[in-house]
Amino acid sequence: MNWMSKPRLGSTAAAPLRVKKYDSIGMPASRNGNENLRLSNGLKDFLWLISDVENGRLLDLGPVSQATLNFFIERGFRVTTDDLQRSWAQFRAIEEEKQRNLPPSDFNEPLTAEEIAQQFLQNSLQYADDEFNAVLVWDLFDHLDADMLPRIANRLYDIVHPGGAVLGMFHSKPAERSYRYRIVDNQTIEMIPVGPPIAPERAFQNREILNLFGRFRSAKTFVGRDQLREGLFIK
Amino acid sequence: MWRKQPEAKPSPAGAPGIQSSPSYAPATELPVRSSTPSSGIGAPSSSTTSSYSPAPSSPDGAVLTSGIRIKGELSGKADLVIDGEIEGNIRLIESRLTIGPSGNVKASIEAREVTVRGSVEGNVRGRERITLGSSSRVKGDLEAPRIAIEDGAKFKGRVEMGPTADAREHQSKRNAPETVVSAPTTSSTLGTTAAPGSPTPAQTSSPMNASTANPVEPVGAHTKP
Repeated sequence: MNWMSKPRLGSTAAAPLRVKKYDSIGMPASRNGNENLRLSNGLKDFLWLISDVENGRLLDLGPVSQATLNFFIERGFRVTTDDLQRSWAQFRAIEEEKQRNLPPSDFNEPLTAEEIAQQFLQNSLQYADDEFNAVLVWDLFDHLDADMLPRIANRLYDIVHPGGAVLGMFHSKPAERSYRYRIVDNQTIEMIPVGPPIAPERAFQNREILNLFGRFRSAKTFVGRDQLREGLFIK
Repeated sequence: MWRKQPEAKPSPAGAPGIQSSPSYAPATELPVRSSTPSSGIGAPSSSTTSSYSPAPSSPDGAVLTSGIRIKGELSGKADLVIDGEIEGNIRLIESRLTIGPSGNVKASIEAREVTVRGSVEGNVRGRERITLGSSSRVKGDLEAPRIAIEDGAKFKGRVEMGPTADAREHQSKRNAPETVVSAPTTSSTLGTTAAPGSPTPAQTSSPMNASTANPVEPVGAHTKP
């Protein structure tokens, strides 16, 4: 009798369409013809770390995404969305407009980058200390001014609950495009290309990332072949 | 899926209180006054319009056209489309509220269904659902059993999905006479209600083992808190 000719019920051979195949870590996984999907080990670790948090709170610092919202709400999280990159772009545009409209005077000196960063943070990320169990930063740090980075990282540390996790993306080479990120499943992220509201400011080296998040108890980075580095930080 | 679809109605022309033209933002529409009586604002509501329509028009509701500005409290039972500006409170708990692309609302909003295509600053509560269109800009917290957010929507705030406090209260009142011993309870924590058939919290195995075979550069190690 040929036992191989008839696949057993429930075996993977019986349902070949359900087998997920990924090209490799960090590379677009061509699934259902969608080249924007990316296998993410950072996300996998992140979800594992927060998997037994009950009634957790999550802060998403990217543009709002229905899929990401649903993903975490179904897992019992309360989700707060705060598109910080957009807020920063708006704030900077307003400040630049103010500077342009200042009457010429010796007393009206333009604000320094540090002062602008300070002003922005006075009205941004105003959450209670230890409020969130998880924070999704996405590639926010690629798009902010250098003066902002340590301040934002420190603020993130304050608002994350001890034991909470932060997941970020960092380009190791200047990104050709800007992306929106949405979670597809436990280890897949969809990177949706969008027009850049702010051109990426920098490309990060691993050491820079670790220094930036030095206050966190633990840091781990993953880099894929697409030069996108994922960082996972635990308070 | 469960709700009644709008029925094909005869032309509303000539019907008292119902605008004859189904077009959006008619120029002849009178502006809605604030603190309107609960009998309705502008026009009587119809139960047949309860389902969500992607079009912002509301042929049998009231329309606040652009250029009109209201400060105060707005309440009623009719559906309402806002293309003007409102500052204060909006409470249309039995009706559908649509904020059009040129609508600008700085108010806390409570309605049966809320659809936003313009700008809102304030908390939004939907007894049935909230929809943020792709052109919407919302700053405030959302609370509704169902929330739909289209790509491109600008949103800053907290999202809580699940029965709203009022909905839970209504539900308990409705069930109270029938259930003497123990009324059915609903989730006490908003935003934590899992959708039917949704997976349980991620039961992922330790990625520490799985990641070793992958072409990644782990730096540091995590221990699960």
